[in-house]
Amino acid sequence: MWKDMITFPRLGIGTYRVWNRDFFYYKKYLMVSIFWSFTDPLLYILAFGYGLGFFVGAINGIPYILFLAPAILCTTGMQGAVFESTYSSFTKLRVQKTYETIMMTPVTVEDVVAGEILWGASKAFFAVLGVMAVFVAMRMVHGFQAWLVLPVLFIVCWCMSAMAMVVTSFAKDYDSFTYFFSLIITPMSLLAGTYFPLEHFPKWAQTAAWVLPLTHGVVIVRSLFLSRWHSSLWINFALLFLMAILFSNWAINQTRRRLIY
Amino acid sequence: MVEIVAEGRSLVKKYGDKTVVDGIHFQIKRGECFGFLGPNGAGKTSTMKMMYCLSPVTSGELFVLNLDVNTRGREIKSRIGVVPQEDGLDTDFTVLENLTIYASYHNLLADVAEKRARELLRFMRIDEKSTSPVDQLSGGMKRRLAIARGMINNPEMLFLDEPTTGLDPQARLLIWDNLRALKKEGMSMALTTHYMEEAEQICDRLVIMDHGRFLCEGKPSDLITEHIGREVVEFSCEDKDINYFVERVKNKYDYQVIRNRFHLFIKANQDGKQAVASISSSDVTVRKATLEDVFLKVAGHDLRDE
Repeated sequence: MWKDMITFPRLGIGTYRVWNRDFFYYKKYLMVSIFWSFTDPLLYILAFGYGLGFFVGAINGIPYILFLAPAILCTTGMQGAVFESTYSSFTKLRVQKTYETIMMTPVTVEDVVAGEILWGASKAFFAVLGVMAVFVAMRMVHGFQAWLVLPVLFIVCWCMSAMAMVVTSFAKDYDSFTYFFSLIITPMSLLAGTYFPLEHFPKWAQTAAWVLPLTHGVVIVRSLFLSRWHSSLWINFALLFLMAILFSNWAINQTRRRLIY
Repeated sequence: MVEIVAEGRSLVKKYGDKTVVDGIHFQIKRGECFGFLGPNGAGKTSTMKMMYCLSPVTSGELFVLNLDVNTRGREIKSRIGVVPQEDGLDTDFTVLENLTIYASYHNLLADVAEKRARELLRFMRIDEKSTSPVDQLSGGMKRRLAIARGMINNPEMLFLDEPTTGLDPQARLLIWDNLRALKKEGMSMALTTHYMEEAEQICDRLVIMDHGRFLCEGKPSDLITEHIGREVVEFSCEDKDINYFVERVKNKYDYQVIRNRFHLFIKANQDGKQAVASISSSDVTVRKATLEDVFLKVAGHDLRDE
């Protein structure tokens, strides 16, 4: 049982077909999609980086805007993935019955869920790339390590997309997502060491933050972005990766239970 | 020898404790249209879903194209076409895109898929709508698109779950035309319906089912002859007179009383006009026996809420 949960999900040609369906739709409304991916992160940089950052000055010797920028990359990925894999996926699962239609073909339910999770991750990653481009233009990206944030960010997007898909597979209606956003996503985006360092939290809160996938994403991405990689980050990386696999398998199993009976 | 394209043996489907398909046996031959008729909740859709491998078999055996549905689902799905009860059209896309994207799930190459999609749209007579978003289509057009989609992979067999439910008479006639044309080309079909006229028009053989079991099975014309006869004489009477009329007809004819309306079943060797003459009622009529009479006789005439 547990062994199945930590096995990397099987990806087939069907996974790609499902991913490609979503990508096709994204391309149809490319400009709209891109516009909305940029607005939020740029607002955050403006409000917190320049506005609040003026008063904060530096954290641990790092100018606040540089402390914040990697976190913005992570939250951009999180928001994009979570929105896509909740509202959009739920519509396809329950309202439009898209998944059931796809399952009348040789594409399996495992392919459908894996394809959807990957798509949610990809769409979020495209937004991350856009924000990264802005940071490059603002001359905030320096050195080889800083570019390694990209693969890590893809895993952050994947993990968040898979987590959201678990919620979708249990959801009864759109209201279910309100709880998910206010009880999990908003607290996580505030408490994962995003806007301020975790060291100033009480010890128990620091420990609790380790349960949050975003915490690991932020600490790795920030270290790389500032060219401060160290080997203990492998633990964060392993945990993030493991969570992504666990959430993916959980979402696949629960969706299967819901669609095949 | 006749080739069998689908076969169920002691097929059972349960949801929890509830048995919806209760040990049915059937064989569908290549090139024929086989109908599953029955009231709502009879087990028609569950039987279909097991055949197109979306719902696991609880017990018994089920083969489609000689492949076991329990183990060869993907192969079966690649060789059959499915038109589900809810169209399940992808409202994010246009009519043509719905077909080409569905073709990609079947691993058709893009250019082959588009050519085939355009042919099918012409065949189903919705080609002038190919660039419209699907939510702009009428109910009948959506249904025809769903049928075209079910045929995109050149299937050997087509499963149609209530293909004309909720459509207006014109739209229904168009779909019947399409299905008859498909049958002419040799397509094997399994369909469910609760329209008796549809079954009479299209099905070569059918079963009437209720509570998960088959009540009768055969060719529509044979079923009518066997269960009803040639004609039906209908008349109404007051509640207090029901017993009087029962006494008068019971030794001569098979009959059924539905509320206060009498149905006398006139066999081939009997004379409907004679029956009419013997009934002293002003609204007595005589008409051809239909499958509807068979259905009401074998499935009863209680209202179903499900």
